[in-house]
Amino acid sequence: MEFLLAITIGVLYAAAFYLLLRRGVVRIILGIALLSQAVNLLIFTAGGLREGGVPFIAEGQTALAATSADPLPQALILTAIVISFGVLAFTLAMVHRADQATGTDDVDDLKGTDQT
Amino acid sequence: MENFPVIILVAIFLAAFLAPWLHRVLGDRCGLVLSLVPLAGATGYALMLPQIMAGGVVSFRHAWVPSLGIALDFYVDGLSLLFLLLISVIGAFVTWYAAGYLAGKKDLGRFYLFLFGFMGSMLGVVSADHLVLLFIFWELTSISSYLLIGYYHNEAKSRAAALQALLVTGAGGLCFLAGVILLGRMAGTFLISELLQMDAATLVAQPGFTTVLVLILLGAFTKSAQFPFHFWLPNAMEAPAPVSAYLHSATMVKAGIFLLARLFPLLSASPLWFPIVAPVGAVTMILGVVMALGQNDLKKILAYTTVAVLGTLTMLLGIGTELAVQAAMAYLLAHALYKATLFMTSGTVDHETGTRDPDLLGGLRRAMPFTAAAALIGGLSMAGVPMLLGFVSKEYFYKALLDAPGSGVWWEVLGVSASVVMVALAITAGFKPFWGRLKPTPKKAHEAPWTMWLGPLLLGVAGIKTGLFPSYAGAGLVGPAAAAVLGDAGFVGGLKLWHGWTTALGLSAVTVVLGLALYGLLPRIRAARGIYAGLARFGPERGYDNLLEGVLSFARWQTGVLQNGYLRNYIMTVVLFTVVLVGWMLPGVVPPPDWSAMVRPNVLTVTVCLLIMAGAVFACLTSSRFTAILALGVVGIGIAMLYFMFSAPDLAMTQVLVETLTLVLFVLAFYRLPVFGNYSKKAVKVRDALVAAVFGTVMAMVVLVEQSSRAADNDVSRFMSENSLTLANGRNVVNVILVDFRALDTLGEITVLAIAALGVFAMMRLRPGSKKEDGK
Repeated sequence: MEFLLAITIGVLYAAAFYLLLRRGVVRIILGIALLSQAVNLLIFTAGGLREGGVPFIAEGQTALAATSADPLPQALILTAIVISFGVLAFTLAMVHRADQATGTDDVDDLKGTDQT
Repeated sequence: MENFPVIILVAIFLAAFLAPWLHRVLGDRCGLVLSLVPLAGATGYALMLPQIMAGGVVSFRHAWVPSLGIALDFYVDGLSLLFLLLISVIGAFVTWYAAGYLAGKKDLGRFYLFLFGFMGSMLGVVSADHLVLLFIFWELTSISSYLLIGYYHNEAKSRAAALQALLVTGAGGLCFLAGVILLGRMAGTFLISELLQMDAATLVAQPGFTTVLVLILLGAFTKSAQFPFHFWLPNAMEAPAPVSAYLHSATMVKAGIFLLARLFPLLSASPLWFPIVAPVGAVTMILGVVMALGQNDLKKILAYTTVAVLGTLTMLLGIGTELAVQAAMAYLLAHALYKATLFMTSGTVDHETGTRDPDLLGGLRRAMPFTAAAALIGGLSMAGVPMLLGFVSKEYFYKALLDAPGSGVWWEVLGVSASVVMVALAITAGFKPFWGRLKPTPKKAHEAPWTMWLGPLLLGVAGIKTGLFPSYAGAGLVGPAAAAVLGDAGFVGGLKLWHGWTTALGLSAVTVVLGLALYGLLPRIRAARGIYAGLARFGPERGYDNLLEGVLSFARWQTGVLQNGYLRNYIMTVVLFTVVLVGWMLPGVVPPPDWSAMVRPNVLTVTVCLLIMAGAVFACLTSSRFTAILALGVVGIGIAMLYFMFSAPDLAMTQVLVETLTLVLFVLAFYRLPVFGNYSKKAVKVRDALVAAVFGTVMAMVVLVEQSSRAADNDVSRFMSENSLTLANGRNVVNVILVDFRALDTLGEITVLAIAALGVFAMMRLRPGSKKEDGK
């Protein structure tokens, strides 16, 4: 499974990177969104995969069972998911405004707008 | 008395930082007050004379950076004391001189700051015991020299000369530092006093000593303007006259000589010492006098003769016999006295008449009697006329050359030729402007204020006194200095005026006669100086220019390539770099897949993974915005399912929520977003796809490495697991981490979201450019 996930992550990174290299600004946003997914999945996989090991402390126990998944990467990823949503919303709004102000979505045309 | 060197050093630096303030309060007179500091310093150093003459040393120790073994250690012996006295006495005179020369300049305070900064650094160079400390002072002299050469900072020539001096001496300084570190590691100590006690033969026999020798020599040669690094010194004459007199003739350029002398017992034990140092010095000496012949600027003439003298000193140290070392010390003292004098008097002439061309000057003695007297004494000493120290030192110079190992005759021929030119140029600088018929000059000449002639005159008188009674200077300064250089406390040096009817005396007479004859030819040589400009094309300065230009154009080229303004090219550069660096290491560390240790895949997980991949690829290929957004949704939900299947219900929940919100956000913005333009060429797309594929492959391998090398257990996770319930009363450990153990991080996260929301709001509602912010 880890092997398959590694390939999946590789494909996500490749797709994200390809999109980041485009000139159309909407595709760049898609690339950013995919990149954060790829990073989250990478941390998750690197943290170790466990089936049926939800990091809850069982009744009558004071610590997690040995078979439980590591809670730490999960906490990190949770934060990352939320932050990347904030970034995405902000970027979308910014692109929208840039489009209104300049009338183009080609990043190569987005230069020297200070003068206008 | 042990702490004298430190107290004086601190006082000088203190004076440096007080100088701008003093200048504001006292105006031009601040130089007179400031000069009291180096004068007091000179007195302090003079008090050490008896102890040094008796063969003792003065040393002071203070731990500074103990962890690095760097200490504020000072060590004064005969060699140091000779330099300390020269630096402080000439420093005081130059301070006076600058008060007249730069009178009325509003940045005189800053000038004194740099000048005293240099003075302190130079005193530090010659009294430091620790090699690293010496290096620090050494670099400080380079920096203050840069600031002083560039004093007329609104002139491009000054700035270029300052930069050139800094780059050449700075590059040499780096070599010197490398040499010092190697030497220190090899010998096990950085203390000069300890190094000099070591057995030089065993040290020299160590492998790598040649590297040390070459590196240290490079440092010394650049600093002391030896061929092929000599060109910066004449260019440095862009500096005001007091700077040229002080830094670029009497003191700083002798730092390289000092270094050679300081480490002489060690370095001269190497068989390479003589074959490198003596020829370099000889070439520099000849080059200096040849170049000096064709100059029509008093300052340039003095600068090139300084180069020649530095070459002479290097050559004498390279020859390295007892006689040669003592001759070098005597020559150094004589040169410092007469050259500082001549630099100051020619600066005065320039200041008062507006020209430095010897052909345009003459008969100034009536207008400027004191300056003329000082220049005459300086010139006589430079010419090596009896009754002056210049004569005594030249006698010893000739004796040392005759005594040189190998063919002394050839050394002698070189030495006499150089001295002949010196005589002719001494007349040009010390005699010609003042005697003969008065010539009209751009400004009407009159005597300079006393501050500008008293110093040179006193130096001249010192030259006469030491010239008439050389035994005092010999016993007090030259002898102990030579003993220190030779590392032989038992060496008893001394200077004598009269040696009988020796060969050296005969050569001296020949020198003066030939020099007078050459003087007659000088105007014709100067008239033909176009040849020099032609030759300069082949000189080492061209190398410097080409190197500098090469570095700059390389910088321009690589900035153009790397900083081309296209963000995607930056990303490309970063990613390619990462791919190459990581990819380089991967083949050795990627483990063969250990199938048994992995979680067994089932139909559901495989399907989900395939869906994610398909979604990602589809998002790249589609030309419809709507399809792309849906594909993104497929990826997001697929990943949420993976989280769910692998024991992360919180993540799955959050992911599903966020994906839903993202989808809503995209759809809301949908009609406002621009349509997909197709901007890239097909070839570019293929290239990008290839790079992306390689990047993806590398990342996949990184995951495999990361996954297999993960620590089974870690302290942080264990702490969270064990304390979640007991300390925070929560069974969902992920939740407890977020809202309890790392609650501040979560607060930060909320802040980020709030700021993002504010940003979105601002961009949606506010319309810059329209006056009415009604928000529709």
